[in-house]
Amino acid sequence: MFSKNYKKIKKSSNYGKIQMEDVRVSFEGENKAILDNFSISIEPGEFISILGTSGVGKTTLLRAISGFKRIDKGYIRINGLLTSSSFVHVQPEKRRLGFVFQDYALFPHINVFENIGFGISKRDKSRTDKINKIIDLIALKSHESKFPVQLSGGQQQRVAIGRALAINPSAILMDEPFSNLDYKLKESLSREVKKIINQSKTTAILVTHDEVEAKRLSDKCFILENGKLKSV
Amino acid sequence: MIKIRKANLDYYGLLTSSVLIVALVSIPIVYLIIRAVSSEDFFELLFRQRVFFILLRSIFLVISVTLGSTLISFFLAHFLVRTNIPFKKFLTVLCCLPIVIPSYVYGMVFVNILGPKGKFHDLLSSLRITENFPDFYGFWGATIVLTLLSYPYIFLPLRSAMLRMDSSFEDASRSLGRGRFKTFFYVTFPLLSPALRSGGLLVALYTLSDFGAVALLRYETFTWAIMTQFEGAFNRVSASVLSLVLVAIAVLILSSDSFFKGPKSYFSSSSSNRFLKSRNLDYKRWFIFFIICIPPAMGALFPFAGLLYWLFKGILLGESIIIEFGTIFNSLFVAILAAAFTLLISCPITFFAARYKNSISRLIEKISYIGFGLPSIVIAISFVYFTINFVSPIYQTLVVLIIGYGVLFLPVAVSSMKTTLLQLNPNLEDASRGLGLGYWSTMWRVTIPLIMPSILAGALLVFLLTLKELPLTMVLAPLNFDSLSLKVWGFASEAFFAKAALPSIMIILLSGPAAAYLVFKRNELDIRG
Repeated sequence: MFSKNYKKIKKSSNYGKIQMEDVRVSFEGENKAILDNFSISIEPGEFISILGTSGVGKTTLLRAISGFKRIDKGYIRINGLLTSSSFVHVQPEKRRLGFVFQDYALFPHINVFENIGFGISKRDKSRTDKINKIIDLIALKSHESKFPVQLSGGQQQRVAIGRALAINPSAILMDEPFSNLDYKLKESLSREVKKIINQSKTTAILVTHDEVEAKRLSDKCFILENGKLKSV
Repeated sequence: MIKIRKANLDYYGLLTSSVLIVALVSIPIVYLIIRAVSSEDFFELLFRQRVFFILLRSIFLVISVTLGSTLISFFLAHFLVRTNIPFKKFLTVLCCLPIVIPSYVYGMVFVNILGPKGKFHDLLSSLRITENFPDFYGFWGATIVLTLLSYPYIFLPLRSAMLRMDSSFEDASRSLGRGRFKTFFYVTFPLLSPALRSGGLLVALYTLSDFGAVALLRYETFTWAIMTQFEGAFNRVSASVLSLVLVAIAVLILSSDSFFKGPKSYFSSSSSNRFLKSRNLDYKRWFIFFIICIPPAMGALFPFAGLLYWLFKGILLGESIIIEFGTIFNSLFVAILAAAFTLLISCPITFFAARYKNSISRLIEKISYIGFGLPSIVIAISFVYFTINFVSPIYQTLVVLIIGYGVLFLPVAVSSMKTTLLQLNPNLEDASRGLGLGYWSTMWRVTIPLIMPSILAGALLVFLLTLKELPLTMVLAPLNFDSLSLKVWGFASEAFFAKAALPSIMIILLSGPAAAYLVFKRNELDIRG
């Protein structure tokens, strides 16, 4: 249902909007909630950051939005459509959210070109054009036939962002994408990432423990503490 | 100047000893090939209908056993790694148990219980339903026995790869719009393929080199045909021609692995598995638990129970079942000697291959892997021909038997040691050299103590494999030499099952602790059976 309505949704004003209402998430078999009565509304095209210490539930939040984690109660709406509640769960592959993992999770057995095109159907006639467009965007033109292991940390990170953007996602979710990089590279890359995301006008959620990075990149910053959000 | 000389001395010392060892490994095989090819009847013996049918039968068996083992291993590894099945550790150890059962022992139990006129057959005929009971002799019997014994060779590396696989790859695929099936097909399967390839290669070579099970189940493959020619017909040219075809198949299997090009592993040891998902099976978990128990129960507990049954039945019927300490001693003595000798000859090659990476070291390492690809019967026969013609004083002595084991199991010791040696931080050796110790002193005082666990694991593996080895022992053992494997074979081939039970149990009990240690310690067995 969610994916069938996708073309209509894309044209609507809600495209890219993410809403969470009174969400509760806990680990299986444990009573203690990681997120409790958690609510947030992110407008289309907005770039927000969520700050927090290790183990506070930042990654769990992203996994709940992307559908890798089921929620116990509350509602998650993406593009105005219900995707998660205690009785509804849209599978991750149907949500069209770009996820940038902390360790990038680039597929080691395929090259840069195929990594970026992984989410684009091989039957799509404009597949090559779409991939090339992304490669231009992330400035990796001469690296498309390389395998992830042959790239530097910064290049891998750009491929991960390009891959997430290639599916034309409702939103892009980034799980500490700069944590494996040194300070200089972190600064230059974060600027590039902001530029790429602004160009693509995609909603973005960044989780990080680095306050400077969060403020530099996003329109709004929040702190996650004891399962609840506070504005910075 | 002095420094350059010293470095050369280390290099040439290792090179010379490695070349000598490689010559020992390869000369008999080369001689066998030359002898077979230069025979007048070579083409006549090679292009026979019989050879063609044996070839087909061998290939069918290799394919069916490898496929069967892959399916079983996938099922077991998936549920033991990715679900909340109860008693995971216990089940994992249980699933590895078939490794300790020699194929000739299982073949013997299988024939006696499921073969024509076996116990199960008797039971069914008393119920008058025998007509519909399938014949487990031949292809199906050999496939079942070898699959149940060899699946751990795929299960262990596959499980290990699944444990190391970061599930963020699968999450990334799903977030990019691929469903469960497509994610498995495009991401999970390719990432697990190096483990499947290496395990599948071991199973294929194990099946190709098996003699005991195929002979007892009357399924004529190359190993059985070669042994029949060698022992019965005394047609040694024919045996060497058949050996040559077997060598060709082994080479084909080994090269098929490089045909499916790809890295040996896609994971580094540091790869995280933070979100390794454990699927909740709910009420189905006990049902799956029961199904998981079936392959190890059929592969290990069933033959062991069969052996105990015969043993007690034999005792109750008053058969003379005697524990011959001389036989046990011979087996242990030969296995210990083989382990020590293999370790000795593997050291120079391993150090040379790991420390000096050039074309010579790579060639030497590749030649040392001959034993990995060649069935033991071929190695045994090549040694017979070579010793008879060139060094007859050692023919049919313990010396040639131990050298044969050394050649056969050299790859086991080399691969066990080399992996650890490559992972060793080179700064440690440099620190020792910087503190004034020479090359050999550093090796003795730093390198060897650090890789000692791998050296011991390799030796233990050789010990275990020697204890079970049958064809090479049959061909190369001195006259009047008795080992446990020879005893089992002698009794089983004459259908004295009660008498064969005790030495079989002894083999299992003696190799059991070593196998358990290796499974626990290394979590992955990279061996041939």
